[in-house]
Amino acid sequence: MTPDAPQRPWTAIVHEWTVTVDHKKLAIMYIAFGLGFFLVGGVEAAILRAQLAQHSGTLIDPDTFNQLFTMHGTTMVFLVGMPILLGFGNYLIPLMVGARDMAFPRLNAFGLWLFVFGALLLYYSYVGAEGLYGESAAPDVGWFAYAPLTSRTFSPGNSTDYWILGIMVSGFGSITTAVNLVATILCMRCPGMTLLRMPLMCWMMLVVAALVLVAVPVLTAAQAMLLLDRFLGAHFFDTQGGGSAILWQHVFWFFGHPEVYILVLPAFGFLNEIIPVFSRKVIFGYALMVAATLAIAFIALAVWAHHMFVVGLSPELNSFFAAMTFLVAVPTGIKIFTWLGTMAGGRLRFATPMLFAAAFIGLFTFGGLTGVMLAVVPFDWQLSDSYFVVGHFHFVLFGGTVFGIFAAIFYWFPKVTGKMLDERLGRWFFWLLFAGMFVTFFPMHISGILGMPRRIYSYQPGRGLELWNLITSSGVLLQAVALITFLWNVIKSLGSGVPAGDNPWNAWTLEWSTSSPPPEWNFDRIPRVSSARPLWDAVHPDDPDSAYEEGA
Amino acid sequence: MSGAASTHLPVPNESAWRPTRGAVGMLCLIAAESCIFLTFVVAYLFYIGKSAHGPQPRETLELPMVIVNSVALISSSFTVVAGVRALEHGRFAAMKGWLALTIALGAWFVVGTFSEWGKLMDEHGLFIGTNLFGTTFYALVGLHLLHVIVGLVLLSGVLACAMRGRVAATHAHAVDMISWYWHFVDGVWIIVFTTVYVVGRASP
Amino acid sequence: MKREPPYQHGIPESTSAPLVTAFGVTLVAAGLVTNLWVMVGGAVIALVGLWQWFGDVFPGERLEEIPAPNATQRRWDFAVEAIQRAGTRGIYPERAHPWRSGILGGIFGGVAMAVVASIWGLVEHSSVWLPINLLAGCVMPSVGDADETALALFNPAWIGAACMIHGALSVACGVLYALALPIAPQRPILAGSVALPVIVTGLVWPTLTIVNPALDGFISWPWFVGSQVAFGVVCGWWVAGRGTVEAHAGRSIVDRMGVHRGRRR
Ligand SMILES: [Cu+2]
Repeated sequence: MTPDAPQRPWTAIVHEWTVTVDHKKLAIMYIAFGLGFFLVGGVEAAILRAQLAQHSGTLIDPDTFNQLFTMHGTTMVFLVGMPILLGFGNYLIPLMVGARDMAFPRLNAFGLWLFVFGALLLYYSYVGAEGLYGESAAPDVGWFAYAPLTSRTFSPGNSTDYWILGIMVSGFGSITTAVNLVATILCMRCPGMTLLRMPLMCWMMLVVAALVLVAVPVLTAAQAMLLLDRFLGAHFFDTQGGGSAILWQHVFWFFGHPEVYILVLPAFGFLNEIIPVFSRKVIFGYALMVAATLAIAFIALAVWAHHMFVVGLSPELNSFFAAMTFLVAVPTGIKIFTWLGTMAGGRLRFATPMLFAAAFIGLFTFGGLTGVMLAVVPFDWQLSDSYFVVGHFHFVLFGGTVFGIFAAIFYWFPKVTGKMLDERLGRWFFWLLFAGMFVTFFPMHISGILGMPRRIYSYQPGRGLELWNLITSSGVLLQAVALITFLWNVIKSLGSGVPAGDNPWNAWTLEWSTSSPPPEWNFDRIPRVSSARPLWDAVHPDDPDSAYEEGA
Repeated sequence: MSGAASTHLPVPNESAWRPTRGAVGMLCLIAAESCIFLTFVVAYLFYIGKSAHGPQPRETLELPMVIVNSVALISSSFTVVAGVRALEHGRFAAMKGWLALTIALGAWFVVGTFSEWGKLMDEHGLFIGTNLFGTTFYALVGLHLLHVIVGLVLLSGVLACAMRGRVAATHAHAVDMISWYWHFVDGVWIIVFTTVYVVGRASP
Repeated sequence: MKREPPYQHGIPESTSAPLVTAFGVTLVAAGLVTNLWVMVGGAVIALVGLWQWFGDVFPGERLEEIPAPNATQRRWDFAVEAIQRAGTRGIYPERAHPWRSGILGGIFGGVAMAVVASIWGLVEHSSVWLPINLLAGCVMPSVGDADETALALFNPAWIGAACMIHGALSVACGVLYALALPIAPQRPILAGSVALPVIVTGLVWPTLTIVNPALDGFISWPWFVGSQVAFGVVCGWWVAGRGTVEAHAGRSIVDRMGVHRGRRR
């Protein structure tokens, strides 16, 4: 990245990046790693969709299909969403709170490498593992790995162990990163940076880190129990030995639902930074946004059994979890209105980051509403484990998380590299991806209502599923073209992009006060702030935000 | 109000609340570990009385021995505090003594637990795969034991450095953080003890 | 414990310790699915990494010095110019209703709504308890199974549940009022007492069968709208009558709550 880079041998550059403890370099590796696996997971999905494009498909055999959807789900959640979002936290939090690095820089590097090696271990299963059908078998138990399918009896060989261990190792990585984020946000703030002057992104990451600390260890514990079952003959989830398969579901979803919020709250954070800047307005309801986030985090810990309505829990439990799920809609709705309230009356400018942010609001709201529908117990009984569910969570995780990530990439790319991404290509990318995502995931709702279960490897003709599946599969092509546009944009802009300058978007937060890219020590002098918009104050000494604060 | 403030930029609020990174990091680690323990505790409670065959808690778990072990472990929380205090005041000899005592008490607990396990295996034939009681018992107590051992390794590291005279009063905060971890391990034992030896034995 | 935050004068030195340790840890895990020697090797590598790590932080953290800032300081120069071009303060609305009036308005509106609902119960079913019990049907399945006589009687559990739902929703709506009134067009009370009931009724009508089948069997839509209007009028009147505080980023929660009487205008 530095001008003298070409003169140095490539080994020196590799060495520099492998031994670095600089939060910015680590974050770039986090995000690059996540984007790389985004392509891998995308290719897996493309193969799945090619198989399902027509009825009675014969492209791949059923076992390969099972492996592919398992690896697709696992990859996208653990090796794409988590590292990219934590990577953004890593890059931005120290800059936003005015610190020179994370609180524990070495632990930060440790977390990154755990992610990388955990991912390699998981994917090594394609070479080294043994499954039900012999050698070279990736895990094939689905991303939530329900018991008793994961027991030795039904999953012989060690492909399931690769799933457990790979996710466990990368899970340690996310826990260490979460510890680091909390410590950085609480302990490393520059003088004057009170909690309520932090950019909202910091609040979102603080809550996300707290959720990681509560949820991920629970998954790790469950996986440890599963290992004990598989290696030492324990009976935690062994239904033959008195164990309970439902316990796994409870424990997994106690992790699994907060995980959804872990994946989407950072994207909320991106929006909280992007929307005010492109509306030229202060965020509407800062404290309310913080309160809604805290409420979401607490409620998210008590809704997990809405994934388990078809298990046959008691009606009281079902009603409780349904009611709690409806309740999540309230703080989530508050957030949506806060963004709309920020945009209302602003001078809107739809550059690519804002396009993605605006699309996020619509797509996420749609995904949220189908989620509320699924929280209605009788409705869920009809459509649980159908393509309706697949459509629902892809609207949330693709329309939400992925769109948020691309908004963030377009917004902060100038800060990270010093070059702007190309606007025209960016628009092409946005519209292609938007169309691709709609064509792919919207028809899933219909095929689901028509009765198509998820995770089937083939379907018969004459059930009205052909058209919807063909549309879904063709959307993949649009997405592929979109992603090629994006990659071309990145390569081109790195080479010959317009120099960004320090603050290309006229933003108000501290990361824009230093050079692009920032020096290794972030700030030549530790900043001092006296309001939530330090750059505003610096420019308007006659009318600073701080003058309006309590006791000013 | 805004007019009056036109000329002065307020002095940044220097007294903003900012804890040390060591304390926050350790508390976060403790929170994450607590969730791991909680999962195992819930599994233990969930499976109480569900072992159809094999040894049951009431007829196999004996209190006298485990109470002696527990007293050793809990009192080591006090000795480690004494060690940290001594370090803060620069009394290195006292610190080494208190640390050594802490390690001895912890080691006592480890040895005691292993001998209890030996008895359970030899006399009652209780192994991890025997029944749900064996599964949940060895998993929960074993998880705790693992944490005791990690804590012992950390404390021994501190003692080793102190023996070579390389620990200074400036390290008191770091050693204090290790002592927090040790308190956590002790605190968890109270919960594990209650779950396994009180609640677990009480139900038929 | 007043300490200087870390990295004021230096940033941490590069080190391969985390990489080595992470590699060792992963090999220990991989040993379970390959063979024991991988695990042993992993443990050795992890220990080497930890030892190196220890050396990086003990007896003191190894730091790299930060070069002195340039003589020609470029502190925020570019940013200054850029933001000046952008112009506006960007605060909108300039003033907002304090949360305190929202919370109180919600409570008063909730009372008004309950009064209307009780009148409906008395007039049409000669029971004050009926509407309250029906509300409890949102969370308590037992309400759905009860017949009209049971529904007309006093039932502590149902009443408790209903009061909790009603209280929480009223306060939440009141706070929403306080937030939304300044951005509503000219006549806030009119907007609040007409627009909101229409929206709420529109939302409730199609979903009620699912959410609360018991209530669906009894509901009288004119009365339902009437109770919403009662809420809207009372809450809107209260909130609008309490005045506003400066709605500015960075104000404290206490300030925004509106408990400082002197600040109101
Ligand atoms: Cu969920």
